[in-house]
Amino acid sequence: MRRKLLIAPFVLGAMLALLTWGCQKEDKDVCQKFEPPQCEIANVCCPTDGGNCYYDVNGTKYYCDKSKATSSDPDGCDEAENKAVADLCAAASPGQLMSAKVELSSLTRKLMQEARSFSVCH
Amino acid sequence: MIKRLKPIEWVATVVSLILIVLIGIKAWQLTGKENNKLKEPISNSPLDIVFGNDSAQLTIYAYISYHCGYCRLFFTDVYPELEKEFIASGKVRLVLKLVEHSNNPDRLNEVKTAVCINRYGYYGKLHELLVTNSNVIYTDEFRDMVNHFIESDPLVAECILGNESMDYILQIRHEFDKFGFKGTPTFVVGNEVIQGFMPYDQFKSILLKHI
Repeated sequence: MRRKLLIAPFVLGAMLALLTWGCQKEDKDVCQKFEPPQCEIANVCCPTDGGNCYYDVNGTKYYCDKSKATSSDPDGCDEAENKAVADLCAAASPGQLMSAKVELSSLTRKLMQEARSFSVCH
Repeated sequence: MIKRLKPIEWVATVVSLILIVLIGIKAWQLTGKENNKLKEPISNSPLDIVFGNDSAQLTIYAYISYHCGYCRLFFTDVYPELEKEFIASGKVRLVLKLVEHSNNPDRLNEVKTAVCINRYGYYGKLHELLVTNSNVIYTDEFRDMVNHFIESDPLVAECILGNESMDYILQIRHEFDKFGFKGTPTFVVGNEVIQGFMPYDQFKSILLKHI
């Protein structure tokens, strides 16, 4: 009986460790494809622990900075995005790069034009 | 007669008791997570954005924001499969509850416009725009588009400019806080609460438990 009493803390400690770490889900990053026209596909990833999102370009990570968030850039990603695009499209000529950015913007404009035209009856 | 315990046995007893209490707390926490059930029903509103048939056998409520990366990920990665396999066949309907906790005028304007266009117009294109680039709401072009909607349709105008849409936003805010939801996306399937994004296969396995 007394021997069991001495062993009990070890057994209980092991059970507590199992419950604590055995059931813990591994934090992982969830990534989303990011595809500026003319350039290769990269990923924008967000850690599930709520940390800063980042752009992953061929293994190089460009982190957003929430402390630099503005009303038009709520996640503070503008700087990271610009660096990622510049790196991602390094092989592209300045003209192609400009064209990629214009096309990104034109997609939004196209969708906005469609939303404007088709959302209400005239 | 109980024999006297040695000091080391006393220490072992005290440590064991502390560990038993800690194990109890941990087990209670884990059980609480597993039994994440909603105790009250979710209210329905004519301003809810609904994808799918009203007679579907299962309703998924999704508390989302277009400004949350994981919510957009849900729409780009999970929703297309969900639509193909469950919504188009009439088994499931998805009810969007747009969560807006800030009082930023552009953000409020966005949600009001979304729910009012969904109610009185055609929402598909606007939804596509917001999923593709949610930051568009901060532009003059977007504000101009909302004014265009207001000028074009008196019902949309009354909905956006009147109290109806603002009351709806406040109702969702209240409900979100009352249920103790922590963030977006949060899904309610049946009465089971699912916090956060999950890949389609995982989402599907939960749906199948309820169908």
